[in-house]
Amino acid sequence: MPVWRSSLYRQLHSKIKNMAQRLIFALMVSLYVFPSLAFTVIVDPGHGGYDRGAVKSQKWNQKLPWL
Amino acid sequence: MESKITLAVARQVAELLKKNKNFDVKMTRNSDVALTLKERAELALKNHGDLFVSIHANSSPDRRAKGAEFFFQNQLPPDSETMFLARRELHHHGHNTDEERLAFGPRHNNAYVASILEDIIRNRSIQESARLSESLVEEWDGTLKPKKHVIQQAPFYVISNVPMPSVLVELGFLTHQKEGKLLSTSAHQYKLANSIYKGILKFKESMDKPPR
Repeated sequence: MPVWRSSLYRQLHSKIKNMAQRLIFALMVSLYVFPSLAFTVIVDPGHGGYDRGAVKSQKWNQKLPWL
Repeated sequence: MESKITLAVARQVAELLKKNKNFDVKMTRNSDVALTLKERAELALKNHGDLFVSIHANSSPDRRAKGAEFFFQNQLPPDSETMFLARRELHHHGHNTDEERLAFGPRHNNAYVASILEDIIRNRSIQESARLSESLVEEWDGTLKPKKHVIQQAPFYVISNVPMPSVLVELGFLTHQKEGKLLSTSAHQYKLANSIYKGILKFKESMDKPPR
């Protein structure tokens, strides 16, 4: 292989390697930054009235003076 | 009263989760507004939740009843008591058990294939929900019901109509004089919120571990 060709291959190889490293870095940064990739927890505060033995709010307060 | 206590605990759980960069948190409500069960489940679907925790406070005509309970979706036929509770919950909200069930899972033109796919997702979600309940119980820093009744399966609407691991936590009984008093204190609310946070963390860590 002529010398000029092997040097071109080396340059190309180095450029591709550089680009791949940058891509991996960008991917890591976006994984860290974007919250949509985080574990999403849905917290649902219940809204009384239908649990066991539940009573409607006004009577409830009379029956449970400690609340 | 229940709505205020559950909202206070839920807000604290959300705050603790927000401090951890691995979590993104969505609340189904952040004020004293009433949402239907369907709206709650739809919000979880819309926000692509990975985990669903419904927080409630319990009550009973038996004033001696106390302790926390954890419910996840049932695979086996529920016992008569949990079935009664779930039916009453649905009746209160004007739902019919199966008609209003939300469909989830990949869409497929063939109804049989679609139902098989949904079944696979549901079964996986039930297994993970059981694991989530165990993690929550292990980290619980409050009174628990007797061992046999701490974790139960029930077809409650919100935990049966979401594809992600889900659990319904009953923090304790408002009708128990001592526990009811405790539940309305902010120190105890924080303690329970921290327990829920630690349970979620433990579950997430177990999920991240590669299978043996």
